[in-house]
Amino acid sequence: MTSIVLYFNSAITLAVPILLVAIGVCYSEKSGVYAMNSDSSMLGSCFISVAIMLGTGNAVLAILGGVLAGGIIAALFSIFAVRIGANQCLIGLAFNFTVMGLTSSLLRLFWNTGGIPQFAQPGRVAIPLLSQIPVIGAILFNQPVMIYLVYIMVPVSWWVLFKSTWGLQIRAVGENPSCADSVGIRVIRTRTIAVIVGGLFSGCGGAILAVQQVGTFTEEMTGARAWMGIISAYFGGWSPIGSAGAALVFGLAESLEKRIQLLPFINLSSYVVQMFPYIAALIVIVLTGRNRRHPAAMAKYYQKQ
Amino acid sequence: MNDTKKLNSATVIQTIFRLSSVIGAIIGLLIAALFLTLLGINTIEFFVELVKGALGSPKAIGNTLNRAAPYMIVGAATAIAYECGSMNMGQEGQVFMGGLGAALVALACPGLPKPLAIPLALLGGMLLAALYIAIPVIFRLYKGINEVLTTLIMNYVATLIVSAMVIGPIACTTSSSYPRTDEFGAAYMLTNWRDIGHLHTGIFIAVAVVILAIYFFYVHPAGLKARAVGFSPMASRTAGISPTKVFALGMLMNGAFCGLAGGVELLGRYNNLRGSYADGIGWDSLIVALLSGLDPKGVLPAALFFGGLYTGISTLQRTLGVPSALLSLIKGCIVIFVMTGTAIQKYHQAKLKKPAKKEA
Repeated sequence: MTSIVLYFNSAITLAVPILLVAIGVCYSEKSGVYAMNSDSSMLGSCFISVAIMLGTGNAVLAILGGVLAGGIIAALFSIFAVRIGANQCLIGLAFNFTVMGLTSSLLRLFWNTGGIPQFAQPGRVAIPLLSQIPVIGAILFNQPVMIYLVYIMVPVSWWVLFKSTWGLQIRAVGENPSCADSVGIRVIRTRTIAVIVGGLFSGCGGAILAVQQVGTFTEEMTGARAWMGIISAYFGGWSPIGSAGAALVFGLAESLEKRIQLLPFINLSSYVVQMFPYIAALIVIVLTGRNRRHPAAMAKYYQKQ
Repeated sequence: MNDTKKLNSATVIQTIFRLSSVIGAIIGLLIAALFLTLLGINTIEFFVELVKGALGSPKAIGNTLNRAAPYMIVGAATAIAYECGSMNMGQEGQVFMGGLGAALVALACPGLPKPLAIPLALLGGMLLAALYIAIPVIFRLYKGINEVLTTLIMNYVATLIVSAMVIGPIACTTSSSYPRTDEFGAAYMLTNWRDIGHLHTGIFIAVAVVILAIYFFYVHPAGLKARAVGFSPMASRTAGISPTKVFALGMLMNGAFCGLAGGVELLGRYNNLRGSYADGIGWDSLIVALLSGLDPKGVLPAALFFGGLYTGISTLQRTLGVPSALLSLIKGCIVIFVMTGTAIQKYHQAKLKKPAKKEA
């Protein structure tokens, strides 16, 4: 029983960075901008938050710094993708390359071969009454503090995107920009802000990954998490709640990857086990299939006439 | 009169667009140099050493050409595939599968004579890589799933498959010190020249592929169809060309040539398969294709430039302690500027026209 509880508990912890990226992708793609850049925001945020953590030792400052870094990188991306109108997919990829090169070079130059020293991660906090609920309490409410914030972030983002005026504007811009323009919504501005908010969320995911889970910075430490975030958003139909569910699938797969080798009767090569999240991603994509109609103006450049 | 004027401004913009690749490459290098200056490495010294590292000796030239060979093959194929309306991002994985296919053939038939062995192994690589890319193609055709994410995810799967194969089913039988397969034997080795940095015959295969690509793209009727689809899928549909078919064939062709590049890299540089034997070739080649302006004619210089860049920075890592990750930074900057140039040409021509006319 305890091992099952532990399995789900760690699945939620592992799903959180992917989940945050997925929420960010919802904002960005609902406004019609393909969020291929989320890996750059995430990785940049990992680096900045680790640097701040080493400098000040303050986890809150580190995460705030990481979130901000993600936003700034996304703002730069929006200049090229939204204003100039370069191919969003390829420019996103280019941003990923640039940030990857920048962080890896800085890592090599400042910390040389030794790498960044490991630091202590903030501990878990059990919520007094809720964590007493059998099974569910131990799974959901015995987590690090940051993860409780994420529980709030999901419904809030859903409300913002689907119930608020600003969310309506974002969706209008993503579906039919010229129509939105004709009723006075500033298309480029709305898209830019949506992309930056997306970057803030991706940055938050990166910061939590670095500060909370890994406790150090390594080259290309985000792996494929940002892609999984994009896939989660796709599977969830660009709704934060649906995306959260999809991100949990990846959390479960990743948790399985970490735990299956501890089982005595299963003898799998570690490389095969590492494939689990990717295979899960492919299965998720295939299951979603044609059922998802993406925002009509996604990846399409809009120029004010 | 009016017509010639239109043509003129079009050619001028075309030239600016062509130059945007070169400008992008220069700006990318300058940003890298600026970055190094901040860290106390002299810019001039950096460029001198970079050129020396890439072209300074026969060994360096050999290394540059060896690295450029797979770039040319994958770059030319990717340029054409993108013109066919596909967005394949899985070159990295397909190159790895190509190497695996070649290795499987080599391990399965060890006794073959060389003229038979090498084509067979390369064909095996092409076949496996084409089968691998068939998965996202099928997803796209029958499930309507965009190929960008599927090919991206399958990159990770391919590298893991190769890593799992070399410690499992086809692991080395004689020693277990380093994860790799058995030696393939001399029949599966492309001829190479020791004096010029082990330059192997792969470069001739690569140049042949590029020439074939140029012929196909500009002369062959099928190439015209591909360009029509890339230019306007709607118009080509009314002209009786099926964009779906062109897309599928373009993707499969791209996969097969990625496999060929993987096979060439494997048989030319190594005589056994190891976990990370072609790290980065697929990604670099995608950048080569973009740098060429998705035109097979531009692939040759772009591939040579990138081969030199790679070799130069690898050398600098040893001599000046420059981190090799700098290559990623330069790659990113190049793509940002090339894509910006394309977008400006596409959307902001009106603003461009005035200064362009003055130049002309």
